[in-house]
Amino acid sequence: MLNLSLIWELTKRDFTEQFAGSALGMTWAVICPVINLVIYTIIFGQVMGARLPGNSGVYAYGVYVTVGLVPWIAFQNSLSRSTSVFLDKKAIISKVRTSLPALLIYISLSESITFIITMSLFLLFLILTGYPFRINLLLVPFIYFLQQLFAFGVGLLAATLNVFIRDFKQLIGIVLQLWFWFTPIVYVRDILPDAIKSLIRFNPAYVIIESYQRIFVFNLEPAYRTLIIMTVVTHLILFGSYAVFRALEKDVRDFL
Amino acid sequence: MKAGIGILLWACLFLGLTYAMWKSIEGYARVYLLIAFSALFLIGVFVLFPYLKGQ
Repeated sequence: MLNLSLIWELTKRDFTEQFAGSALGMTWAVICPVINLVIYTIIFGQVMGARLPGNSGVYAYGVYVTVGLVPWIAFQNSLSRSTSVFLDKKAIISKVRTSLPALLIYISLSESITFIITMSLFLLFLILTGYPFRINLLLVPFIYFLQQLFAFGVGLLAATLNVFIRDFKQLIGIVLQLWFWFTPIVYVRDILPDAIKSLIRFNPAYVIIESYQRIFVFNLEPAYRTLIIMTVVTHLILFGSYAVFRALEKDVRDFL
Repeated sequence: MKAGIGILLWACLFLGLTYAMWKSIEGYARVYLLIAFSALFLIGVFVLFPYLKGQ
């Protein structure tokens, strides 16, 4: 039912395929995140002089952008790629009897490898710049797990519906673009009008991104109550998505 | 420190419980149980962590 070796093989292939044929090979897996981190921290902070309101630190805005963008990219890629996974892996599905939701796991794992590499390099940067580490950092893997579960739940529903309505892939792309700008990742929440500020609390991506920002940038506790509500909502979505998938599974396989 | 060890023990407990559940239950019911376990695990983390930190 859950073919772990197939998932691992797909994860490895998916990750290494990005660099296949290039002279530097897997070194790109480190070079790309380093370039991104240099842009976020050194170019934004030192060259462009971007500052976080209420914080005069040179790297504060860079850290703010990094802890928002890196998880967002993992979330966005997981969700957008999950939407078309059943159609993309049609050949495998028709040859190997495997659990269809398991195919979404390899996407999440592959994105998690990139996330871990980038965050490890980011932590190295923080060590080098004398960042004061707090115990709250231990919560980061759990917040990331919650984020990826949310992407999995929405992704499973989108992947199931995308088999019947192919427009779903385009729709998810547009929703993700709007969602990105509706989430304070590159700007701070305070610049938003009051009406939007009160609405933004209901944005699940904001709950997650704000938790990272509170831990890394503001040295505050994450909002535990909101995270618990988000956990309940995420699991209800997971439950619902899986129920919809189970109801349509036979049709999905027939369609493919 | 206490919070870190507490969360680690909580994670080990849930990993063990999930593995035992996965092995003992057959069919699709175990997926729903896995979702329920995952919810309990994360709620536990977000309740235990601040509690243990405050100790």
